[in-house]
This record gives sequence, C-alpha cells and structure tokens, in this order.
Amino acid sequence: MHELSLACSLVEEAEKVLEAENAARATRVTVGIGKFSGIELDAFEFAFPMAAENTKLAGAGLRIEEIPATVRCRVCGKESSPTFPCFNCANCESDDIELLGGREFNIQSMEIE
Amino acid sequence: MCTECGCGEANEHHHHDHGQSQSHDHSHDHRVVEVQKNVLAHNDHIALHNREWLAKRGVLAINLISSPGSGKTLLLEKTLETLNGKIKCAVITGDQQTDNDARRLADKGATIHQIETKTSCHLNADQIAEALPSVIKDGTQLLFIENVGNMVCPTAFDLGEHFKVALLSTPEGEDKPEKYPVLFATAKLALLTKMDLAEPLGWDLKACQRSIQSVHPGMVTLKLSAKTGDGMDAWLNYLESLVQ
Repeated sequence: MHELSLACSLVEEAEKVLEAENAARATRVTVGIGKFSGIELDAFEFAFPMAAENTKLAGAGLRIEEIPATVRCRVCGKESSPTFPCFNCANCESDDIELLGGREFNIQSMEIE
Repeated sequence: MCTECGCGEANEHHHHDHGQSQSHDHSHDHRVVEVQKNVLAHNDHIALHNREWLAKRGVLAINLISSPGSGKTLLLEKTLETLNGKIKCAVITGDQQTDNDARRLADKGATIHQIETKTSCHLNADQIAEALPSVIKDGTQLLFIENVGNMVCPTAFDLGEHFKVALLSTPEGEDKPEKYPVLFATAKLALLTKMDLAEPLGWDLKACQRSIQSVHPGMVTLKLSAKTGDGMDAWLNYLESLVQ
C-alpha cells in the first residue's frame, strides 16, 4: 500500500546520487530490502517503474536483494539469524532481542552513465 | 547495439570511456557505483531524535497498530478515563481524514493531538516530531500513538516509540498474526480485543494463540473487552508497571 511512496523516495535518493556523480541516468538500481522492513516485494516491483517514469531512472532495471534478520539476544548474548517470520533468538528462543539487521531499505549500488 | 552495456547504440567506433568524456560520436561513461544509502535514513534519524526527546522528559511512548475498526480508540477512551488523575497521558492519533478520534478522546485528562495523514497510510517520524512539543506537557508519563488503521505500512516507519502494541479484534478471525507476521513479530504485546464477541462469533482463542506463538514465541498476550471492561485491569496494571 505504501510501496509507491517508498519507490518515489528511492527515486529521489537515486537522483541525488546521479547528481553527485554527474551522471545523466541510471540503467539499474540494486536495492537491499530487509525481511522485517514491512515492504511487500511484488508491490514494490510493480510501483518502481511508475515512480521512475519521467525521471533519470526511467526504464532502469531493478534488482532486489533480500536481507535476512540478524538479532542479538539479551538473554544468551548470542547473535543469530532467525527464520522469517519469527525473530526470536535462534539459539535460546527468547524474544528479548535487539534487531541488528532486517529492517533495511537501502540503495546498494547503481549502474549509471 | 553496444555489447558492453546494452545501451542500444550501434557504432563501429564505439568506445567505453570510463572516466573522462571525449568528443567522440558515441562516448559515454557507464559505470557501477556502490551507494549503500538508507532510503528511510531521514525517517530513522528523526525517530532517533524523538526517542531521545521523550527519554529526556521521562515519557514512555507506545505505538498502537492494528486494522481499522479493531477498537484502538475505544480502548484508549476507557484507558484514559481510568488513568485520569493517576498517570498523566498524552495521545497522538492518526487518521487519513477527520478529527473524530480526537473528539472522542477529549476531556479525559489527557492532551490529544490529531494528525490527518490525507493520502498516507501510516504516520511518520516527522509528524510525531512536530506534534511532540505541544502534546507533551510537564509531568507526562505515557504517550499513546494511535497509528492509522493498517497492519502493514505502519510497521515500516519507526516513530521513536519505545515499543509497538498490536491489536487484534475477534471479528478479524484467528490467523491474522500469520497473515501479517511483521507486525506481530516486532510488537512487544498483543491485545486481543472485542472478547465479548468471541462466543457469538465462534472465535477460537486457542487457534489465535497458536497463530501468535507461531510468529512470536513467548509473545505476551492480553484478552479484553473495552466495551464490557473485562480484562481491562490486566492492561491497566501493565501500563502502571511501565511507568513505576
């Protein structure tokens, strides 16, 4: 539902990169999306070309890399990668955890010219 | 067609100029740049400031997230009525349109701030930052943020709250936690609301608890009906324990 506005935010940030790199356009954007980011991948892929229309990202390819959750357990102290959708500690199953990774929504790299 | 980058240009004298631009017919600079840029960095940054701002003033903030119509506002009405005079509360309530919720929550001893998000399906950290100075009065201990009714999008936006509470009302069925796992996995507490309707609806408590535990083993779950008052004590005791 909010994926179009996220796609628009992505395009805005990518255009800043293009400006900083003095590039005319992007041909591909690689995005990292965490499993706990709340972003629906299908909806995001659907929204991206619309957000990119009439921008320097028009027609650019989109590559998505899913980022698994990484947690640090406050009970046993270990770091682990729980299996989605759970994010309890994979070692002792406690839910008293600190989420170290899995909420990301990053531009990882761009092919530009 | 350029075979190196597939840019569509056909030119015998094609050169890939990585770096300097040339006065060649077809010269361009096609390269890959590593970016590692957080698109929601702005929101996360403001959320961090909100969290610090609240901590400095000793305010605990709870982000209430659920479907529309699951009973967030009635729960807050009853909560504020009971806590009035005991714990100083504030509420930021978000809806796409209207100030109906703010009017329902008025005159119960808490400061209320309504945000109309218009086209947006969630609150963001900027909106909270803007509201905080006016809604948090001296001595405020608890801030409730009643997010826009939606189980998906609000989970993507950190507001600077201390934790999230997920509400699930009996008419929604038993398996919402599995259908919307991110909310239930990341919320600290699940409130099962409209329990007065469980029996007439044939709603299965055990099935719902299994669904919750499958996405968040050990998740603390409270059952209540804000309408009848059943189960409200446990919720209110929980809140009181947080601010002591």
